[in-house]
Amino acid sequence: MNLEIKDLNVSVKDKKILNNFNLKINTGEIHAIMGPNGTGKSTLSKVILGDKNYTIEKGDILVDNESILSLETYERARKGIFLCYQNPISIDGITNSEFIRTALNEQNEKKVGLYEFIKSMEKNIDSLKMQPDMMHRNLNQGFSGGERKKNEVLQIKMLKPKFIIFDELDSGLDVDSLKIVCDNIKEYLQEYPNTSVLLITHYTRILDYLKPQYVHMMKNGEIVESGDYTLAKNIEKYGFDKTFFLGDDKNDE
Amino acid sequence: MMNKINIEQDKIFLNNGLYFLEVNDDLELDIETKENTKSKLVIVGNSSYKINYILKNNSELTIHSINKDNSVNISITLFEKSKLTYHHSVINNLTSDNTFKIIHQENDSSSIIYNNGINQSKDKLFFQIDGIIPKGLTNIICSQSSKIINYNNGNSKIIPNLIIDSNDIMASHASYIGNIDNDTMFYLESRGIKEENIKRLIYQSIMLGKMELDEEKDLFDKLINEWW
Repeated sequence: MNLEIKDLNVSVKDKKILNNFNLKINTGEIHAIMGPNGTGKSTLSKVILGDKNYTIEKGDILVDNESILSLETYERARKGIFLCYQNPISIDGITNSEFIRTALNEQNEKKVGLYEFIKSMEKNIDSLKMQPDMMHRNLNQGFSGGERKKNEVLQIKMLKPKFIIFDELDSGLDVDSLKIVCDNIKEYLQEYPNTSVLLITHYTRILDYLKPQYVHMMKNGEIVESGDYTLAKNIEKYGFDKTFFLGDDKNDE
Repeated sequence: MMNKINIEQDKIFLNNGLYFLEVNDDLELDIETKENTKSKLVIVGNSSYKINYILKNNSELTIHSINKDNSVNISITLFEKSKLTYHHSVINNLTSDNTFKIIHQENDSSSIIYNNGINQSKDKLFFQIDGIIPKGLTNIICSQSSKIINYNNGNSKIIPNLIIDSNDIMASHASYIGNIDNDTMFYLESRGIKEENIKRLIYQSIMLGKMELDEEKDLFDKLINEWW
């Protein structure tokens, strides 16, 4: 899936969050956006999915060259856009399997058979090294931070999106869980190589696993610098401010 | 296996085990747990009822109750080391009054009450929960949590009262009246689920809440689908 963001200006309650934001992600590419807190990274992920809390003042979001601005959130999801949340919500009274099966049936014309669904859930739960009873527990209820993140990746493996946004995937994950989660994502991307990915993160450790081809630094609602993985390493070494200040000169050090 | 309660009797005694009470006509009943027992009571309320519970020493009772368009008047007295967990859910299309009076009579007793409601009418859905802890009692837990999803701006009200005259106790209440919150709505929509089905999921979520369902699961699923 191709996703292009053109001159996007977004505000919430008269406060401008995204400022002439431009980004193009082609089919099968992995991009990472890094930036300090409060710079609009998470806003970007929600705006792509049509969160009505935000006002789009100008610009466009195109999926495969067609604007998605007029689409409702569920319609964007059905096109294959998936947001892996930083803090997934929990819901009483709805089991994980009921929730995922409902989403699966809503997104596909043909309803998935119960046997096929359970087998697939069991396989993916095992692959993510989740407790087998996760399937029957209420959605994210009583899950640790790491279990919630694994549950988001479980949904990816079940719903098979074409464009995935990971918002701070590494937060709440210990070293072992991060490796398990990233191994599962890599396996998914190998199986579905046309999937495009946008990684939103503060840290490089997740990038070490998922190896983005493009890294962008975001500040005050816009991309201020783009490059390859070296940019991420520079951010780690010098911090956001100094990396921006030094520009290309840092490569001479 | 569920033991069906015979409502011809005025007073029911609960031993260890699982009991089932279906209320199809207005009903008034006394239910008493026996000492040193652990029981679970499943209630389907199609009509209004008044039940006085007595939890005898060292008994444990869990109640899973789903209700439609009815009113309930519940009084519960807890004796020493007794423990109550009460899940009460109601869907209201007409008018519904739900009154709970929980009296901690002796030490070391615990009551945890979850009231969940969906008000689809413009009329009233009321929860009033009085937790009473008299003077001199110790090691008491008295907790109440109530939530109403108010789909049609109906007259919904939660009145949580904690009447406490002792120091060595833990008491809490939480109340929520409103629509489906935006974060929940967005999360579910972002998985490709349309508003109508989100409402159905939330309805199920409210009706089943934190219940840990066993044998009653199929029955509750069937009724909740029928009532939707």
